Amino acid sequence: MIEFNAIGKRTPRIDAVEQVTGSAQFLPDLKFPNMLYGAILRSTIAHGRILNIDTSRAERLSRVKAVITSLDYPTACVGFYMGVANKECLVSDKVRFIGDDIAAVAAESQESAQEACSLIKVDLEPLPAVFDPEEALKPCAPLIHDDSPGNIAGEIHKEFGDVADGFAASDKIFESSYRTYAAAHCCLETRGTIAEVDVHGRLTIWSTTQIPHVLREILSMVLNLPVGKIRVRKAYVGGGFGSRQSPDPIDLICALLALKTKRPVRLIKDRIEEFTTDRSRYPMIMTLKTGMKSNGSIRACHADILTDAGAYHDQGITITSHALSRIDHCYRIPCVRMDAKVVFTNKVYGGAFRGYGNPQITFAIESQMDEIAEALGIDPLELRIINACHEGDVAAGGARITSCGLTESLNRSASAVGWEDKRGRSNKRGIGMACFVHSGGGGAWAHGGNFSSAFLKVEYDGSVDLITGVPDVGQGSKTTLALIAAEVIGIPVADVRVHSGDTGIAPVALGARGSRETFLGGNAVKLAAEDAKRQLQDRAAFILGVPVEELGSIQGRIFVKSKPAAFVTIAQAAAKTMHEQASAFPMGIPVVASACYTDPVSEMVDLVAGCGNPCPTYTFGTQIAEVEVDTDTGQVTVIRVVAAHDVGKAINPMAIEGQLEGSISQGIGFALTERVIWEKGVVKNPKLTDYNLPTTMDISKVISILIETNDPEGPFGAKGIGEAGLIPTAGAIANAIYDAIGVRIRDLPITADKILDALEEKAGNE
Amino acid sequence: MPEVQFEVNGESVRLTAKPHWTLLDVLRNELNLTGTKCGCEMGDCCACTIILDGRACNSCLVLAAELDGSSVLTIEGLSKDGGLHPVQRAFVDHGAIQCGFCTPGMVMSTVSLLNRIPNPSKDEVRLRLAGNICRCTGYTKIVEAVMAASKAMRCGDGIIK
Repeated sequence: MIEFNAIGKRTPRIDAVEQVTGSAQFLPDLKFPNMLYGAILRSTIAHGRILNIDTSRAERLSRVKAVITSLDYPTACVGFYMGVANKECLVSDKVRFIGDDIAAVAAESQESAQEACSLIKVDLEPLPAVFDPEEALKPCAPLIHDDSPGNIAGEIHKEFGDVADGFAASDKIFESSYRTYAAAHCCLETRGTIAEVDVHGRLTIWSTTQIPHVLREILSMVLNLPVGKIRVRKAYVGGGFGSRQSPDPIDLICALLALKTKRPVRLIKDRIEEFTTDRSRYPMIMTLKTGMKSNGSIRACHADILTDAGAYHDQGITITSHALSRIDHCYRIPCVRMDAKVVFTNKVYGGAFRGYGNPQITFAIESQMDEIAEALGIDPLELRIINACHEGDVAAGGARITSCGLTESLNRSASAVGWEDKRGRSNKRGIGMACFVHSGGGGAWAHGGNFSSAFLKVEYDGSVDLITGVPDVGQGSKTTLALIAAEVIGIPVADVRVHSGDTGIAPVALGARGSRETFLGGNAVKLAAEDAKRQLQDRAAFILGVPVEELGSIQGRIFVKSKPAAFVTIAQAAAKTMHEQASAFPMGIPVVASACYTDPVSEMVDLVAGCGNPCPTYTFGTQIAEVEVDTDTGQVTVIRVVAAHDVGKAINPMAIEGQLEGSISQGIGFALTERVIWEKGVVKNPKLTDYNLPTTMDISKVISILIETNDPEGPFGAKGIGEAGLIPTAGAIANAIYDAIGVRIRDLPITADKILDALEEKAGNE
Repeated sequence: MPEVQFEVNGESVRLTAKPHWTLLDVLRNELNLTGTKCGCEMGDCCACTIILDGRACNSCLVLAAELDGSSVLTIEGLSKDGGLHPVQRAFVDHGAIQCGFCTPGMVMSTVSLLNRIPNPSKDEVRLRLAGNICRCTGYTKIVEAVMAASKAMRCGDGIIK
């Protein structure tokens, strides 16, 4: 077994002291001389044609410095996939949801900007609106986009193997539908942007973004500015969870206001604006038809999804495709069919949220697995073990499984919870399990390749500056990457400074998303650190007069392996100068390294119809939830969750536990309480208390079991873990509720009223 | 407009407060103490928690005009001479921080809690911190950190050895 010096140890965040003393600066903490404040006038109706916008009264206010509408910037659309983006940053012809952006103002104060917005007169012709995805598909439904007949944003149809044959060969076929609704990210820091323009006309965008380089690319396309004239930076960011992996109209609007006024402009959403205009989790209606042999093996599966895209394209098609793609490589299924429609409605459009569609489909798959197990008289644990994927499998759709801890996660979680003893006691306490597979280090092929890059320099005191495009939005990637650099070079992690999230200095990375920071970013850092280490060892070999092969490095020293007392410090190697008695200023010949890591494993897969291996790694796991249900009130208490996750290699076990605990808390919210409630397009619960976020009173005990399968391509074997924890939680809770009280709820969140209704129905049937 | 005089982190402050200014506005905009965060401006998240006359409270719900004669402790005033308060130390060591946006408020609520109840049970900690929203950590490590800080502070006071 390899002994590691830095990785694998429980390491506090390298920036924790800044965070805990209030000195960590977030975007709203930044101040610029002469800064203006922006505000956006938003639609108050769900669907309407814009007849006229009169900004004259607003423009007459002395403290107002700019008012812009789509007339100033025609058809400037932003979206994660610019090829399909149809959200104009300021709408020109129609408003399509309550909150749609109509005009924007920059003024000397926030109050003046709001006042100016209230003085803009908009003539709108109300149009019939549609809010439900099934209604939107009807021929009589109002058309939301002229170029999208039937309100269809996109369709997916894929078949791998002959599904008709598969069903014909099945002993029993199960079919049921499941539904999930919108959940909001609720980042504690709301979304914001500050834009400034320098004397050369170069634009700097400070943004709460998860994707600095991608945002720069998008702004470059829309503003028709070369990327060299745009610098995207982030301050500390108060959470992302996928919401900030899309550009937002405010990024572009803020840039336009700054370009127009030549002054810094700040635009920050307030909490209600965040709830009503930021992209939430795509609601899905999912039908699963699964053909089983009576011995418990799955023969075929047909999944059909209807996704509610909301008013515009963002990632509805890719997220639905990603959800469907998870069908065939958690369990071995020889043939699969996947169909989906993504439909526009007059609500705020959806977006990425931790798991990228996978929490929705995994809730459906894992609920159905338990329904199948009961019908076939097989223990749910056994049914999953029978069908589990293994290392070396190639899924029907092309995913190649190069490491897999699924079976181990099943066995270890079951053993930790005492599965056999606790199951089926029906004393209003129950346990339920759910497995999952998630893609790791993916989501980047739309950018032409799956890569990340890093710069590294070793100072002549032996400390290291690591410059990475991978932004830390709270998940702890700075610390993870610092650990990797420290491990390779052989220095304490405290000697690594990480500079991230600034396109002005960092080489290109594709963002904090898709559980890719450790896998892609970590591999790039590892390559750069290995290069720096080689340079340092060459110098040490020269100084010590031994061949490089005889050297090892640990704790800031490079030593002769056979004679550890003979060593030079990293600082001595880094400070090596041209001449032995060179000067009183021993700055040394710089040690600098750079690397780009391109994943050699995955491939571009057509989202709508293609077959192939879209990601370099796949994470697996099992969660078992133990719940107690109060049958008088319908209240569900999650007592504990055992989470056994294949993490590849735990670079920082404390951070992974934190990711799991946080994800599971979000998963419990998704399962039991969280839902953005719309009535005729109006968000009825746009406040943190009304939205029912989990609090300290809702903590359940999380027992994390980290399974190390050592992925062949991961840095030190690591996989990504940022999204995984949320994915199976809702399925495990739904199954535990069934175990406790014998009712099956097929739509989320499983609120008290649904439980009471189901109990009543069950009593009626009995 | 009322002129108010109060104390922030041990230093006297005198200013003319606009009627609609909150304590949060004053701290962040007038005094440049941006360690106190604004998460909702509605008293829903407690990210803006400070200690006012010995009690934790939401600075977004206190009008600046009411502050005359008060004493305010913010996150910036908690640690002295470059060291960390035991609560801060525990949050760092126990991984109770992810994005860090709720952290200043969470720390101030904890300091207030431990000042009042030096040896709380886990359930008391959960109850007392229920208003402080954290979306990242799932709270587990926060409660662990609070328990550890409680122990450290009591040891430091010589109560438990």
